[in-house]
Amino acid sequence: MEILLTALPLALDPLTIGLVVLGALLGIIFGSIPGLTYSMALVLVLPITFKFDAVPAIGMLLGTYIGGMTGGSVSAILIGIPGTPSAAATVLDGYPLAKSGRAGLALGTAVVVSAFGGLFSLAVMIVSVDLVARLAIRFGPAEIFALVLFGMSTICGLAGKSLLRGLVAGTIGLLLMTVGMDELDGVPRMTFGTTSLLQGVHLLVAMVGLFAVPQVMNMLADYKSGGQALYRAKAVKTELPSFRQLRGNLSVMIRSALIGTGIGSIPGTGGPIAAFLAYDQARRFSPNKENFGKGELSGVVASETANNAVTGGAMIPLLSLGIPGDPATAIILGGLLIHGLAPGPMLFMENKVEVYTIYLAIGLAYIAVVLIQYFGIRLFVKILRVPPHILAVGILVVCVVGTFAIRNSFLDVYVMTGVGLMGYLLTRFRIPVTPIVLGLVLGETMEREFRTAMILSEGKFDIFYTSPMALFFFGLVIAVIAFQLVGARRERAKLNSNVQEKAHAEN
Amino acid sequence: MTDASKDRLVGLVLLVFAVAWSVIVVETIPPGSSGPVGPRGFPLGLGVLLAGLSGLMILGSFIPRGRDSADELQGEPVALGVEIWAIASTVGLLVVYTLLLSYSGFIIGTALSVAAALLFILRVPDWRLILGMSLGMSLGIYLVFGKLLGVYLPRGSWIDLYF
Repeated sequence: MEILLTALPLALDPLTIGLVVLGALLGIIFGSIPGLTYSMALVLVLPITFKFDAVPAIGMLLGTYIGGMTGGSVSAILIGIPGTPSAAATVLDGYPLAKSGRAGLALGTAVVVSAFGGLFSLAVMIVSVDLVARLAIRFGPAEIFALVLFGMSTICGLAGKSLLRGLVAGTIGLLLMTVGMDELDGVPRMTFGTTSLLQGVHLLVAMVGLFAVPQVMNMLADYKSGGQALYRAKAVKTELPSFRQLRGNLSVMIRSALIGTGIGSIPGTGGPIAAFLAYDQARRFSPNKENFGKGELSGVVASETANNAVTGGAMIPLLSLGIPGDPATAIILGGLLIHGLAPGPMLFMENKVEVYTIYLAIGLAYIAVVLIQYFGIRLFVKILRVPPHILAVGILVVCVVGTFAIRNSFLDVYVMTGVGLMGYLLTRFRIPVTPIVLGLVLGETMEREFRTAMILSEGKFDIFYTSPMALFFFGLVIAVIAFQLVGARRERAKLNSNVQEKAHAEN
Repeated sequence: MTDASKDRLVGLVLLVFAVAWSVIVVETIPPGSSGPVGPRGFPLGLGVLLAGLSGLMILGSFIPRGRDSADELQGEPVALGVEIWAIASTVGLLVVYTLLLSYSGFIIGTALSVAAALLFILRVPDWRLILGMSLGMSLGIYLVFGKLLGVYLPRGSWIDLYF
């Protein structure tokens, strides 16, 4: 209670509130425009937060994350295209509702249940992070190494369609991380005798390159090939759902919030999976099954509650163990590290006040999102009308300004351009970029803990297999890989049989 | 380009990179004295791992496997010429913009680069949009980022317009 009272004035500081609201606004804008992602919003916002103290800075990042997750529903409902992949399930009923003239109600319901889902997951998170952190406080270097390896393996396995390509990407990220001064021995690594590479590839420079530059290339290619869509959303006014409508959907909301929080807490999953699972269960249990897909409000409720509940769920492994579950939380982890708040059990011992302020900032962000979406919907309709190629030029300017601001270095801007080009080419060759970022974020911890464990054990590997907790995580790594291999084999068999059936039918 | 040949190409490029990386690691990083695993261990292990994984990618590309599930999610690819144009435009704009910033500072550099992008890359015919966006972005970001939020903006080595 005492900590909460200390945290309250920090969270209610005008600068913090202002930055949370600004972050939420930017998040909703990026989330609502198809083709722009909230991960991109986060990497563009992060350099701006450098100047501020940890609390307002993290508040702004969380506002952007939460705004982005909610903003996806705006375009999903108004134009039938999800602004973010997490809002794909919202299109199924949100767009039919809009077509039948109930766009206002769909938007209003989406924002209210989003806030419910988010706050529900916040409550679950507050209870569980403490428990997980208490368990994790006993972890030594061997256990932390095993845990990081588990985090990496889930993300490599689940980020792309193929485990092998995911692992290739993760290894590239880890390789890039080793460039620069080695922190244990003070030896320069892969710097080729230059001083400019001694500090290594800055995490943020790489993130801007990987998340923003390839998107801009895609936007320009779409423009040139004439495939660029111009969105003509109609003017609309947000209409909040009635108490009766909400009460009728209460069980859907609770089930979806539980699904979202649970799925969110598993690294490598995220919003789209949670939203579709919640949508599916809502349809199964509904007495109006046949209305789903034709404009059933419960469909919007399920999808939007679940994808926002992912935010709190994803924060559980992030804050208590330092394991991010998706690109967005990886960027937030980058932000926390840059501001001197290394997530993990020690965070709850050393920075209790900051942790509570983060909780309050999440609550604040949801309030901001509801208010912005209620009063500012006209602005978003207008923004949806801005042609994407014009936005692309603006995004490039912000990329350069943000990257330069990190270390006042023009070299960083060139590195960002190079990494962006690499990211684009890798994606074209079906290598996912998310594991690269995870490798960059987690690599340092992985190497440090491994080497420390080896020093402690005097070079013997038994430190890894005599610890039950480390063995448990190694077991999980094997399970994830086996699961992925079996799943891929089944999918391939199914596809092949479909192709054969088709060929048979054609004959 | 088929998926198998794509895998072969990227696998080969990564294999060459990984081998070169590992050789440079052995030649330039000392084994170290801080413990059983020195500064060389991780970069070398990762180089070998990447070589192995890219080798697997190349081998895998020779196994016939019907259609790959990843194809289902891929959209219609754009023409190669268009793609090269988009890559060249983005990289070109970023390089020119950075050079301009280093010589003429943020305000002039941004205004010129945005105007050039709209005129020469996007060929926007509306001069009001060109003028509005180039001046709006440079002054807007200068005031909000530079003055209000205190973000450090690039200064020019030849001309510097700051107020």
